[in-house]
Amino acid sequence: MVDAFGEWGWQTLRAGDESEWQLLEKCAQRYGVSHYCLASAEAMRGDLIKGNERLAQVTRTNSLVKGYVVVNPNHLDESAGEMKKYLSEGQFIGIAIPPPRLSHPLGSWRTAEVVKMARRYDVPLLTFLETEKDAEGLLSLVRTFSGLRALAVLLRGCDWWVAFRILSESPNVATIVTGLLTERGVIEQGVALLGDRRVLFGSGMTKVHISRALGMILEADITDRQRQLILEGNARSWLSL
Amino acid sequence: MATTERIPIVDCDTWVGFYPFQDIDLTPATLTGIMRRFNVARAIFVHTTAVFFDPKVGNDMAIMVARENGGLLLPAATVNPLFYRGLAKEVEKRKEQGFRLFRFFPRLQSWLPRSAVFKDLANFLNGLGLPFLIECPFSGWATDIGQVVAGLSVPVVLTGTAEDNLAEILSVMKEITNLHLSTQGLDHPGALEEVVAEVGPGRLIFGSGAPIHYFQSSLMPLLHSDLSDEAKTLVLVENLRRIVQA
Repeated sequence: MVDAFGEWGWQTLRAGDESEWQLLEKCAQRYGVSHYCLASAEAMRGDLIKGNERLAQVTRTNSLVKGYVVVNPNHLDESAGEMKKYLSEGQFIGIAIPPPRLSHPLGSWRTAEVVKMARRYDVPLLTFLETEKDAEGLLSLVRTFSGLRALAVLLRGCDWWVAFRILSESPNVATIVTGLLTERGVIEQGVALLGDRRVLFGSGMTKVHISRALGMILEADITDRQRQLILEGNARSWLSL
Repeated sequence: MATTERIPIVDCDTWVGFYPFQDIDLTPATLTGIMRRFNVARAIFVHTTAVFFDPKVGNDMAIMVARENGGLLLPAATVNPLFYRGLAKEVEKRKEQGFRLFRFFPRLQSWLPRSAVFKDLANFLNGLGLPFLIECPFSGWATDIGQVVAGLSVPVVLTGTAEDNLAEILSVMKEITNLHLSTQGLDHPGALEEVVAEVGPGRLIFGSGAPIHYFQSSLMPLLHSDLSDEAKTLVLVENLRRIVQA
């Protein structure tokens, strides 16, 4: 199983008995996760540089973890530097733009500037959809920058049916279903509107427990082949793993 | 885990009706299909018409659904404190009809739990011995609800909570011992274990939010948690049964 999206840093905030790494390792063994693809929660919400660096330390020592380098449209120069620093390392497999409420709408000038710089690295762009308007912004980005591939994590409050309809217009966008949005039908509709090669599994760890998303996928009314694609095959292909 | 996977579950948080916000099928057939698939013996449900439009009409519809499903689905009545006139009569009528508990939806209906009308309602329900569930998704609400229910003897269940307000909820639950918590919003790693460590397993109640939400997104985290089999049985069955039968 390949986990296409999680965030590094939440467990540390909670100061729980288990460390972030212990929790991820335990779940990897229990559920058969071969790779976690994580973005730094700290880089998305706080210090861009320190957050990416803390995640990089983990990816360098643990082959289980791959990283998305986080960029911040409010800090264009620093974002360029972060992409250059980490995307030459094989352990970083994509670029994450924080959710719009934390940075800028996907259709904004600042976001477009970041994407312009990101194109040269030929890795997928991880984005977050808080509303269906964000899906329009993402569609506009992939149309403007040809060859750009994007992954969209749908968040609570997003009208996912409309978002899928909008995203279905570009083959360069896939969605990641996570335990952050558990409304019944989101997986089946994702498969129906985007196709079974464009839906990926994301645990949302360590913000939410991996079993939440896994439970959704096991329950969804899809074929076993589609389930397998969502749990592993699609992530391997979209993230070049 | 092997033991608890076979026990007949009781679910405090299910829905029937027409869902206005998304194309999700909330027919009784869908809900009972989910219940059969996951070994749910009983589900407490509300009718969407009662929540989103007219409580009187919706509560009547809930009775019909319950009758047609032969005891599998237990209706929870609701009233909307924004409609002052006839609230007490509606509560009394539903009690006479056999409703065993009520649910409140301050977030969905845009009112505040600290409202004087809700305080009156909570006292009235307490006088009739009727437990109730209430949404508590925001910071500050658990404190307000705690103040409203502090002197009551009926059990009260908080639903629709989030990680953001769990610390507040646990603080309030330690003070107010008739407060219980639904599992539905407890989605972060270690959340269930944290609640049980702080207030014990007797005050946590399984709720799925089905069919609006995938049932397994709530069940699997509980079954796979580090809680003992005894604690899981309390959460999945016994705690809610005790409240409903009281």
